Amino acid sequence: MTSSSPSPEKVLPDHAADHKDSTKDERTGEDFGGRIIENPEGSFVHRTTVSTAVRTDDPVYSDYLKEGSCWWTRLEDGFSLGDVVFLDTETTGLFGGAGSLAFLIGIGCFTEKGLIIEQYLMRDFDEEYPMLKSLLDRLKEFRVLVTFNGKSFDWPLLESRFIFSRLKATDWEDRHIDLLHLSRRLWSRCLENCSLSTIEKGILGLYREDDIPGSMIPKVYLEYLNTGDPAEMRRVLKHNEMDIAAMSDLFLHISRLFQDPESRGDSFELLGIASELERNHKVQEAAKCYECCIRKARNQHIKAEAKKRYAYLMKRHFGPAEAMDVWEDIAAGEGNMFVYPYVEMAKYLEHSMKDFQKALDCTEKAIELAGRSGRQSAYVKKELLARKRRLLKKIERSRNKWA
Amino acid sequence: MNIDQLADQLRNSKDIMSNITHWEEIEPKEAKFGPFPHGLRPELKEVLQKKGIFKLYSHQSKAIELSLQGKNVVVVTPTASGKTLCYNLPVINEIMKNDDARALYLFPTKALSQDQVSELHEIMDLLDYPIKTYTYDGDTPVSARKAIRQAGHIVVTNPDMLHSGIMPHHTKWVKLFENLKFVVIDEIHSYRGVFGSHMANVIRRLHRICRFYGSNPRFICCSATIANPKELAERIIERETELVDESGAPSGRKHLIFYNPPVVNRQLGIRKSSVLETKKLAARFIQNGIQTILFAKSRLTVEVLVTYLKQLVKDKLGNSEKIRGYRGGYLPNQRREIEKGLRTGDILGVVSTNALELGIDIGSLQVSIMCGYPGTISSTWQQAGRAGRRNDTSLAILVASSNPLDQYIIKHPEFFLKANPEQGLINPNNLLILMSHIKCAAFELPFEDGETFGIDFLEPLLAYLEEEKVLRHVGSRWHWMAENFPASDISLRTAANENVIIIDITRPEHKVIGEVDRFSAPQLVHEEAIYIHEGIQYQVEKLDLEEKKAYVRKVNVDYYTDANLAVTLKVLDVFQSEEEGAAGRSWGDVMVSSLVTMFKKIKFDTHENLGWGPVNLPEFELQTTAYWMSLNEIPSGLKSQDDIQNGLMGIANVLGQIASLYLMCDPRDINVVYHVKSPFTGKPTIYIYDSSPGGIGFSQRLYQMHTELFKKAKDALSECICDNGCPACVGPAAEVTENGKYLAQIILGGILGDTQSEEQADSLGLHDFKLPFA
Repeated sequence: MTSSSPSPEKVLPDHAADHKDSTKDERTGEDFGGRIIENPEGSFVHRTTVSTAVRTDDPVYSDYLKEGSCWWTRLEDGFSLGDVVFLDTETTGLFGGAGSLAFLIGIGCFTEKGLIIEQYLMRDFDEEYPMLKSLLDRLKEFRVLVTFNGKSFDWPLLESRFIFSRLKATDWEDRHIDLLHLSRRLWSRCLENCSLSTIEKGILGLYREDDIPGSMIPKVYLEYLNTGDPAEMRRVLKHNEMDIAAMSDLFLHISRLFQDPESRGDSFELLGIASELERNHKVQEAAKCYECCIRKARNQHIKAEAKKRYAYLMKRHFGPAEAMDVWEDIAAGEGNMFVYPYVEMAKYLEHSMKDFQKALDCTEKAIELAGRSGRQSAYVKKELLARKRRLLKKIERSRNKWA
Repeated sequence: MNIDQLADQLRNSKDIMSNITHWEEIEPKEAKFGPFPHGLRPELKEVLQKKGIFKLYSHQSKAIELSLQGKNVVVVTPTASGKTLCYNLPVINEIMKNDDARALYLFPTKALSQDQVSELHEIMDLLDYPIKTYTYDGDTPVSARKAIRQAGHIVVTNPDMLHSGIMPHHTKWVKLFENLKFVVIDEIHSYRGVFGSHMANVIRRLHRICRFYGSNPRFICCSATIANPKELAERIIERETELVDESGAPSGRKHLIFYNPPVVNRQLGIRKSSVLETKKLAARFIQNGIQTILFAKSRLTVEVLVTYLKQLVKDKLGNSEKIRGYRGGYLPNQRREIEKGLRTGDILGVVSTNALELGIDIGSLQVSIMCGYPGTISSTWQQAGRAGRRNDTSLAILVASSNPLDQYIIKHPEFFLKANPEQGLINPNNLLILMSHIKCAAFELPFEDGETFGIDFLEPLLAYLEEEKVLRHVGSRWHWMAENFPASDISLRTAANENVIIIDITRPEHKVIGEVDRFSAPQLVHEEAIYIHEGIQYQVEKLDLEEKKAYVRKVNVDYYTDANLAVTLKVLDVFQSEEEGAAGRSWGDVMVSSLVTMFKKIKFDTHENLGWGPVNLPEFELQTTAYWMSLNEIPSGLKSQDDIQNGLMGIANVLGQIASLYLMCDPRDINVVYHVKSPFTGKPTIYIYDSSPGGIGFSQRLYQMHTELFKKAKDALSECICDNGCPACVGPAAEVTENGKYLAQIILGGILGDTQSEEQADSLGLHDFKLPFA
């Protein structure tokens, strides 16, 4: 994907000017390029933008949009891109708790025109209830929620706010996808951190200009409440818009990866995809990704970890015999310092093959390695020594039986 | 020998009896029972029978009955009178009726909550009904928290956690708050002073949140014996409350013995050390295999006593685990282990600060020895009550130290035996405390116009906070509009959340062995201090106050250290003042800065001074209220500045103790300083200030008492056995010089002038406490 700066293509016309709220004449929708929505509960600002940040000329995009394809790991029933809503909030406090509010909620959805971003903004505390009520009605039109760190931050905070307003929050059940969790699985091994901005730069190749730092945002809003000056708030709206654009781009990026991991993913990503697939009980696909990762990986740590996970996957789902080749392969690796393949082989040889002598050889090798690395826990050593004693007894007993 | 034989042995020993100023024998009391309340389900009766309880004591029966009627109840219960049933039965009964019902249990300490949960589990197991009880505190794993919020029928926690961990996140606790039927506040007497004033505000916040979720819980409170349990409970929960204070529980024969260590030097008024005498007395019991609990007033004394007693029971292998210490700085699992050891009898002796005074279940001990008067009448009864929880004979010995309050009590046991226990005083409207909680409350739920929060002056306070840009008034509501999370900045106890942890660096793998609170740290773990933990000596190598860590290394030396505290005081504002007469009086706001300047090394056993060292630590500042007295005329007997200095020093020493007696507070709640020429009044002045930030009302009371206070001090001096001053009155002669006592008496004479204070005492309602000095 080529890098492009997310920017609004056009701002939908503002109809607010015609019917200004006379009691709040100092607080207008135009300040933010949006319009004022009035409902029986009160008013708030609604702003709609079409983002060009996401390339919709990609054939994959239109495929996703049209077909009810089931390309997301956790969701068994097929859904199309049009069912997905992206959500990001800006809040008055970064520590959570009942006194933190979401003063700005941005949502995004894919249409044939591209990514549409809608922003719900309250200009004062009394606009929270009408804003939330309207937002909730809109959210009902979607089936899947996608956020970045929304499982522990944005959504619980909104849930808390719905309780205050005595509104019943949407129950997404398992249809809430938190891209932070997935991103960590895919890129924590190769990025310094998995913040959205790091991923934007490192993975998506996006750059932001004049972005307001997230930590400043609560201050800006509280300042706006005090002064009514919207200048800085416009930057907050822009920031929120860019977050949603980046999030949806990330979503598409990950979707592509999952659609064809073997040709699209590098070894880091393959390892992450495999473990995500494994978590979702897609064993065959996971095994394929591990194999592919082992083939592709140049980084020895990645290769070793993939082998280890692959072997445990085989053991768990296809029995220890299937994993033996991999254990042996790891153990035979040049300069191998790992104890576990020997332990696993010893288990298999002892319990399934009843080859106590070979099991003992493996155990002794494990003990030797554990001793050499010096970092192995006493527990491992104790365990291993117990195994050794038991095997010696078994060998003794079988000798006696034959004698 | 058994306990009765040992008691006889004490009585027959001339040496010991000559030091005993009073021997009170309290007769055993028969149990009184009451009916099984009708509203309780029959299954509960069966469970009680399985536990071996066939009848309810009269107080249990009455408390449960009242609670079932929907009343708020406060039960005053002596130790081991089965108070837990008073709340467990109504709560379980309610949950069995309605599975959605929820209860919140509040205990002042974490240790107590742990205890309760295990006791509740015992009942649940017998009941075979799935009631989910969880402890929710700082130690609760994050993974378990969600389940507790959703499913816990009974949530057991402490006020601190309710304040900073539960209420600010109330939307996560919807199930609890919507269905809250009971709030249990155990050990309500411990919510006095600052802690109690915070607690009352925490409960105000709880009321607001319950109202939001449409619940209106009943309260069940339990208290140890204090003068005003109903009043205290009603001030804390701000609801009308029924009092149940007649205990039906039986008690065994109890000997209460007042022991004054013998005088070793009459001129200097020096008595044998109370610590060494305590050790001697404890040895008699411990060597006879009698489980004994020792109470000491400071952490240091606890450790010194542990060291001595461990020596005593050491076996050939050097095994001395039969004696343990127990105090604030120990880690939770260590405490659990000690509590268990006491119940099983593996531990023969435990030395504790007042940490074990509260209802932690440590089984029945036979002897309780208090090294020094615990400071209040109710604490003394609590500590004495730790011995003899069942129907057998028990012994409680109070060993007096040389400070004036101890000496007063030991010479006037009738004062102790006849006086009312202390009142639990709180001041929920202390502006500092109130404002903190208004912020927390606004964070939790916007204030509506017309809300009261228990006060009739809420609106101006909200308006002030709006000016400060902390709140914003929109429509009819006051919204929180700051970025921060107010509860995290507010500690319910003085700096309790700012502990300095103590790290043992003797071995390459460093280990945390304990903690001390931030304010005590400069005194206890300054560099080169000897820190004693579980009887093992450590020397502090580095105190990092910024990181709140003290690094210590094991040493083996024959001394301990004691740090000196230098205090300066500055008047900020005067609220009331009267300059006429021999002595002027005032009260107002002050700023107190304290600084640890040096420490002394004191040899074990002989307690001689081996030398000293400097301490370089920053000052600590406290803004609080103070009462002060300034001398308008210098009495003619005083010839020099030094004379004034020594006289004031002597008065300060005796005054701190006397004042606490009449304020009915712990001596540690107030402090005395004096200025020979005060920068504020320009005259010789004595200040008495509240130890807690903002003050909790002692200064105003002292202002009203004024001369009465000095009259009592004067009486105390003339009554003392010494010639020229001793630790029991003005302080040792060596410190206040040869004529310190005389000088103090001259000054006191000057302050009192001709005015006689008898009528004043009556008008202040002090006549109950006149037994004293004259």
